[in-house]
Amino acid sequence: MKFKIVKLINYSGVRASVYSVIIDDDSETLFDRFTKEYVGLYKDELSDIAKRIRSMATETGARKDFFKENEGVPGDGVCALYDEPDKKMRLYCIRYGTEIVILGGGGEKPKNIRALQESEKLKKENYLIREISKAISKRIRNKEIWFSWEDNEIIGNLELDTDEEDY
Amino acid sequence: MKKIIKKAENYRSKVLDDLLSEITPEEQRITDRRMKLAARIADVMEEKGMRKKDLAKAMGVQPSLVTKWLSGTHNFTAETLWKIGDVLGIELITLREEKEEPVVYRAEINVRQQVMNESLIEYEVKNMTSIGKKKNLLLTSYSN
Repeated sequence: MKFKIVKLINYSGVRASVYSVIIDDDSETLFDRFTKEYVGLYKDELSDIAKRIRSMATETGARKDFFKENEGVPGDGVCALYDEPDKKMRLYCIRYGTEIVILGGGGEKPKNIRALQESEKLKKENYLIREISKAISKRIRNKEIWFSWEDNEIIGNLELDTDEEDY
Repeated sequence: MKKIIKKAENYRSKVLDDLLSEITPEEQRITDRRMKLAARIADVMEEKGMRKKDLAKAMGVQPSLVTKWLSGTHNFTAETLWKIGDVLGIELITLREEKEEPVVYRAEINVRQQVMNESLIEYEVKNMTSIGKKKNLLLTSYSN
């Protein structure tokens, strides 16, 4: 799977830069797909998510308390935006410090679901973001991707391929 | 192999623009305040070396509730904020007592003495002005 990292300019602010991912030749990001898919059903929740991400970008930074951590493997930065038990939406992200966050996709989190493995949709989205994180981590280790903390930018070779060897 | 050094391509999301355009500045301000309040509590906890479970114990609540407080999504009551403030030793709500601004009068005072029955002195104070106010006062005093 090929993908590229893009910066969401509607969101990014002085406290944090917000990114998402476009897969293969798709014309929209994972976050766009997630929003479009659920805006009809859960507009209020998506609006709340939009407000919180904008606050992080402009006011507070992407602090760890605003996320549920450890949604991937240890150290891969995969997390979910904090969601209250009675809320339906779960959004997966990758967080790099408080300054950079990559928004992935997500799905509906019915009340009776305790583990993500019980929802095929969430499982698929979670494993996708893990795969993306793994590919980025490899590039970081190889010094092909790095972060500029002065202006909260991801820099380097931002077009990736999870099928490349060593991934 | 040549090293590729470039920033990420800028992407403007139409769907996100539509969503954000429906959020009023007031709604965004409320969210900003909730998030900043959560961040303030988390910062003070860190300064004091206090973990979530320590605050939960001191407050007599479940740690999961503290997690929610710090998530930036919680709508606190004033009472809860006072209690958290007491535990952390900070003021999360400041009650500012409104002090009355000193009234400064600029007046043109015409004093005329009238001899009316018992030495009445009438002070007519015209065009008394104060900040935001205009008054005409008639002050009357009696001479001894």
